[in-house]
Amino acid sequence: MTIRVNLDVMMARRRMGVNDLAEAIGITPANVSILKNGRAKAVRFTTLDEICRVLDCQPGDILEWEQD
Amino acid sequence: MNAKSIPDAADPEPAPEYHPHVVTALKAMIVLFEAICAVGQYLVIDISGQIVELIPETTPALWPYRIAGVLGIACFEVALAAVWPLLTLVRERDIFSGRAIRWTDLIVACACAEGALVLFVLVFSGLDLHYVDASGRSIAATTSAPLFAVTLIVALLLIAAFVMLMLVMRSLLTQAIAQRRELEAVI
Repeated sequence: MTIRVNLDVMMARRRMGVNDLAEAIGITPANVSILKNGRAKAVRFTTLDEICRVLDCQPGDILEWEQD
Repeated sequence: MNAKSIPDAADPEPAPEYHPHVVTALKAMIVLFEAICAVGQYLVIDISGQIVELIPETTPALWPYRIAGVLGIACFEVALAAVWPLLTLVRERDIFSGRAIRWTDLIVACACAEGALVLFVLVFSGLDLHYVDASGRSIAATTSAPLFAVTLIVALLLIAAFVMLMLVMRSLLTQAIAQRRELEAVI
């Protein structure tokens, strides 16, 4: 996957675990793990909206494009 | 997930396409039709016995017709029974999980079996089979009635149309299942 989701730093900064973030955003902890581990194939804008609201960041802070 | 990404307390309004009462009514109808089919199977055996009493020459054809009649109704009964788990999936709102495919396949198989059975009866009655009795005379084993053959041909066409319709529905189902699988991967 060439789009990396860098949730770890933001989550550590807000001192949120996987379960806390999942509950705050409204998705399952399993899906949060899938996002963190780079196994996600697609993300809704509404989910991204919630992530940025909860972590108080910009999409560019957590999304990164890597060239293969 | 739906458009609301923050979970509410239990959603008070079910989705508009969710009709639990219709599902219950349809299930009740299935039970009713199965009972009617069972009665029909009994009647097939009873009436064929009466016909043989009236026209003793048709005795050799008694059991083939009886078996065909009972099996024909049985195919319909099995197909009807296969609709029940589909209705359960509809009520659980799980119709696109992939479990519906096997029941749809069962219904198509029953329809094909029914078509083969109708074809068999058509050919059997059309063969104009004769048998030789004790005094050496050749006797027709089946009474020929053109209306009977026409009815069977119409039934065969209806069954063929039903099978084609079911195959179209099945392909819609497989596409919907594939799309749902794809959408499930979206976080």
